[in-house]
Amino acid sequence: MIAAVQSMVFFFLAAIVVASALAAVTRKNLFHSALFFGLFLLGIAGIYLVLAADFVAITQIFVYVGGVVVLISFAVMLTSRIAEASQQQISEQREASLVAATILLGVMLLVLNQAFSSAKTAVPKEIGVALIGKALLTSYALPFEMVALLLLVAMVAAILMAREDTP
Amino acid sequence: MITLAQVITLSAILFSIGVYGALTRRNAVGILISVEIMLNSANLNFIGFSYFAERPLLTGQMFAIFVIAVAAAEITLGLALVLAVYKNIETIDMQKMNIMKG
Repeated sequence: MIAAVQSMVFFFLAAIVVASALAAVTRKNLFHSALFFGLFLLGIAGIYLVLAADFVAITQIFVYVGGVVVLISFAVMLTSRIAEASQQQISEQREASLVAATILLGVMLLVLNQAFSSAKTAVPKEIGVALIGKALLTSYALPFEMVALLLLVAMVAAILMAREDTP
Repeated sequence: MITLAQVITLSAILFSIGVYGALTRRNAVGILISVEIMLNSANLNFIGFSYFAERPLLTGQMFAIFVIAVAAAEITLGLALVLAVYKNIETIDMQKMNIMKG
């Protein structure tokens, strides 16, 4: 019963995620594309919750939906005039890209399904926030500090690049 | 019951959608959105492997957290670049950014 409900929820969220990703890459209006991208990120966070990754799901909502989508909306509003928002979005190489993406998908599905086709049933496990916090400060201390440095550098560089040119 | 193959298939489909978007979009912000879709599909892969491991495995979720942080920094810089270019040439159509074309 629980397994059936889990399966149903996963397929429902997977349908939402694939549909909104397709809409995000094909809509002509760039703001609609950003909003479908936000829906895609919310669906991915739901799938993380189904796969017992609570902390990563909440981090995804805070950082991606609450930060990245807002940033993209700012950038879209600041860089497109109203008449230009729905102009021709698809480039001339649409057919070739479709063929390339389909071939990539086919090869990936072939290889991965052969490698991972044995039905592994999952042992339900809880990885709590306390475990992640402890690991961040003991085993993963070096990547933690490096990501902190990276975020500082990115912040300074973004402010520098986007400011007015004052002589 | 969810199987590992289903999660990997979903991740592969999303990655191909991201690749199609990155090759097709004429708009700089649209290309950034497609790259973020690809990054999220890789994250989904990590979380899936962490869930289906033999014993409680933390590595996939740690990797996913770091990928989220780095992707946020990357899109910040990408959008700052887009804004800087827009100040100069008043458009973000990638076909028109061809100053260095031989």
